[in-house]
Amino acid sequence: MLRREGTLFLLAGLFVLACTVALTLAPFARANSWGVEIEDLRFWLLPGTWLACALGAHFVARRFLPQHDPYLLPIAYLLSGWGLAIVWRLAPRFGLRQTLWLAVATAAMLGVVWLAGDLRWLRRYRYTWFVLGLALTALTLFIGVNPEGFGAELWLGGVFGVFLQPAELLKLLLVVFLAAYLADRREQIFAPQAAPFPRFPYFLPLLIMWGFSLLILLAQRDLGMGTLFFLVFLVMVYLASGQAAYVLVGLMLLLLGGLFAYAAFDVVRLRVEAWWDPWADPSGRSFQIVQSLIAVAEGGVFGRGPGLGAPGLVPVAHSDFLFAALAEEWGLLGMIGALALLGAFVLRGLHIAARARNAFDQLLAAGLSALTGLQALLIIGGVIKVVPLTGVTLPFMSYGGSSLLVQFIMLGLLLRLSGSQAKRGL
Amino acid sequence: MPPHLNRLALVLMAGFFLLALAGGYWALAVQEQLRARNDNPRRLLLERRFARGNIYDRNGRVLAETRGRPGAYTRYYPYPALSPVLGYVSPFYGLAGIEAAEDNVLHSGEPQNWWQALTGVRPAGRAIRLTLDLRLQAQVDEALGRRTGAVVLLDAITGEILALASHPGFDSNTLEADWATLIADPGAPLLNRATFALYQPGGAMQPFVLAAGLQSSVINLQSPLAKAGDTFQSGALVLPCRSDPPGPALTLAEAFRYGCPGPFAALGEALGARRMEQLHSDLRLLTAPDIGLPTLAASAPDFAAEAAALGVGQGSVTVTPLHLALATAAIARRGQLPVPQLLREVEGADGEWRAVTGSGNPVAAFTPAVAEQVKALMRNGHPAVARAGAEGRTLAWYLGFAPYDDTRYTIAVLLEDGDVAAAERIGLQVLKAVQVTP
Repeated sequence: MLRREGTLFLLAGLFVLACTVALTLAPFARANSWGVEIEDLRFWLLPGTWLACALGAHFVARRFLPQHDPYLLPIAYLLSGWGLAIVWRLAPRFGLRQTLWLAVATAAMLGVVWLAGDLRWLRRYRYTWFVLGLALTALTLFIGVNPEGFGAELWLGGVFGVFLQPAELLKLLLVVFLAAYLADRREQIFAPQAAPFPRFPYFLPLLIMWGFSLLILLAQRDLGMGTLFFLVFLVMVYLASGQAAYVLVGLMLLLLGGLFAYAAFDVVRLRVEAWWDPWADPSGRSFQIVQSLIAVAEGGVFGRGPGLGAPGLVPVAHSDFLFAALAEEWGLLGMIGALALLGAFVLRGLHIAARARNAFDQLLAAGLSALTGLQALLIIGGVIKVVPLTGVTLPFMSYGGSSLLVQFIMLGLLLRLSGSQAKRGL
Repeated sequence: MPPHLNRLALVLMAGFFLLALAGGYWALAVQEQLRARNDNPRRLLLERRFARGNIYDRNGRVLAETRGRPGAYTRYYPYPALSPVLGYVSPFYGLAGIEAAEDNVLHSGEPQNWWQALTGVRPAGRAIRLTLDLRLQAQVDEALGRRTGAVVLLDAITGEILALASHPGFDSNTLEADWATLIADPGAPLLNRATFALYQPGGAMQPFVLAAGLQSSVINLQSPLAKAGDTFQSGALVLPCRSDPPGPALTLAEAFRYGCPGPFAALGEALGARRMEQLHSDLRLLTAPDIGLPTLAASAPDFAAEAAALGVGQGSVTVTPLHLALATAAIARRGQLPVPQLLREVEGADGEWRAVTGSGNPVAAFTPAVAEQVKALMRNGHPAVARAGAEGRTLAWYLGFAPYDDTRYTIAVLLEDGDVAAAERIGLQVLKAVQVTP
C-alpha cells in the first residue's frame, strides 16, 4: 500500500516540478524571445518546500501509521502544490506566504499523525474544544482585523504579520463536537418512538451550540461560512439518524434563512442578484462573476497555458476566484482534473468512514470529508455561477493560511482514523 | 459502505459532476459570446506581446506605429491631431476610429501552427495605408486652428479622402490619462465631426437645388424675381440673405451669389416631391458613406411636405461634411459623384501591399452642362449659413474646389461658431496650399 503512496507522490512531484518549469518559461513564451530578463525566481522555493514537506509527510506517516490510507496524502499535496503554483503566478507576495504556510500546515498535520493517539481525548473534551473555538471566533467581533486593511474583520492577530481566522478552526471543532455528541446520544435523539421529530431534550444542546456558531458568523457577516456550517450540520444529522426527512426540512429552513438574509443583509442581496442576473450590471456589482466567466471561456478546453493567460483581470483571483484562474490557464481539462482530485479526496474520506470501528470515528471521518467536499462545491459553484458566491476558500488550493492549516489538521485526523482501523485488523 | 454514507457520497459526487458540466457550458457552449464581450480586455492586451500593424498615410508617412519591445509594446501616434480619425486602442476603453474599423487587419493574427498554438504565439498584425496625405492634413489642421468644426478635403476624381479634420480633438497617446476629462468635455473632442456628425446644410444646399432646377428646366437664371432679396420666414425660422443684396429684385444667379433663401424655397416647391427625392438620392445624401469609419445619414423625410424647407436646406435632412464634399465634387467634375475612399492599401501576410478597390463606381448626379453652369456661378466656392435645429445656432459652411479647370480637389468646411467669413478663409487657404504641394 505504501509503495503505492510513494508512486503517487512521485507523480505529484513531477507535476509540481512541471508547473514550476512552466512558470519559469512563461515570461519567454509571453515575449516569444529568449531576450527577456528574469526578474523573480523566488517561486523555486515552491518545489523545494513542497518536496521537503511531501517527503516529511510520507516518511513520518509511514513510520507512525504504517497502515494509513495511501491516497489522501498524494492528493492533498498535489492539490496544494498546484494551488501554490497558481497563487505564485498571480501574486508572488501571497505565494511566498502560502509556501511558508504549507510548511506550518505540514508540521501541524504530522503533529496530529504522531501525537493524536486514538482521538479519545478529542471526543471527551468536546465542549471544551467547541467553546474555545466559539470564544476565539466571538473575539473577532471585538478585536477582529482584516489583513488587507478593509473588508470583513474575520481575523485575529497581526503578530509578526501572522493572522488567524478562528472561523476556520471553528468549522473543524463543529464537526468534532457534532460527531462526539451524536455518537453518544443518537439512540436517545432519534429513538424510533420519537419519530418523526428528534427528542428535544437531547437535541437541545446540539441546537444551542450550533445556533451560537451561526449567530457569531451572522454577526460577522461571514455568510459563506454560515452556509457551510448549516450544510455540515445537516449532513451530520442525516448520517446519525439515517433519515432524509431531516435534510429536506433543513434545506427548507436554509431557503427560509436565505430569504430572510436576502431581505435583511445588503451583502446577501447584492450577491444573490449578482448571481441571478450578472449581465444586468457587468461593470458594477457583478464585475467579479462576469470577469470570472470570461476567464473560464478564455480557457476553453486546453487553457491558455500556465503563466500565459490574464487571470489577474479577475479581482482577488488568488483567494475567492482561484478556480477562475485555474480554468483560464489550465482549461476545462484542468477544471475536471481539480474536481476529480477533490472528489477523490472526499471519496477516500467517506471510505475511511465506512470502515470506522465506532460511531464517533465514522461520524468524524464522514463529517470532515463532507466539510471538504461541500466547501469545494460552494466556492467553485460560486465562481462558475451555479450558486451565489460565498467567500469560502477552495480546500488545499486557494490562498489562506488558516484555511490551509485547518485543512491539513483535518487531513491528519483522517490519516489517524484510517491508520488505527488497520491496526485493529492485525 | 453503509447506505447513508453511500447516498452522501452519491450526492457529493453528483455535485462535482454538475460543476464539471457547468464549467463545460461556460468554456465551450457560450465560449465565443463571452470572449467577444466588450469588458474582456484580453484581446487588446495581446497587443503588448504581438505588434499591432502600423498605419501610414498615402506617401508612407507614419500615422500610428507600434513601439517598444515584445511584452511591452505601446501604440504611438506621431501626429496626434488626427486622433479623432485614427481613434485609439485601449484595454480599458476599447477601440475607436480607424483602429476599430480596420482592427481585423491591424490586430495580430491567429496562431499558424501547433507550436504557436501551444505557446500562444501569434503573427504580428498587418499594416495599412490610408488615402490621407499627412502634409495636406497638417495644412488643414493649421487652417482650422482652434475653431470647433470639421474639414473634408477630397480628390474629386477618385473620391480619395486626402484630409479629414475634426476640432477640437484629443491625443490618443495620452487617452487613458485624459479619459475622464475627455468624456466630460461639452465640446465632444472624441467625436469625429467630419464623418460622424449630422449638421443642417442650410444654404450649402443651394448649388445642388439650383442644379436640379436647371436640369429639370423649371428656371431661368437671368430673369429678375421680385422680392428675391427679402428675408425668408417660415414659422419660427427667419433667414436673411447671407450677405446684403443691392436691392429686393434679383435674378436667380444673384440670389445664389448673395445667399438669399427666398427663391430657393420657391424652387424647392416648384421641383416638387419627386424631383427633390431624386436629387437627394442622386447625391447619396440619405446614405451613410462607406469608408470603413462609422458614418451617418439622415432618414428619408416627407418630401411633399418639406419641399420648400429642403430647398433652403432647413428640412429634416441633415448631412455630414463628407456628404457635401462629395456633392461638391459632382458639381466640379461634370456631374460625376465620386465614391469616397479612405483605405488605400493593405499589407498582405507576405509583406506585399495590396490595393483596396473602391466599393462602387462614380454615378452621374447631374448632366455635364448643368454642372458646368453651376460651377461657373461658384467660381470661388460657395459660403453658406445654416440654422441648426431647435436651439437656432448658426453654422457656417464653405464648399469649394480647385483648380477651376480640370478640378482635382474639393473641400467642405463646417464651423459650429457660424463665422462664414472664417469658413471661406479656411477653405480658400487650404485650396491654395493644396495646389502648391507637389
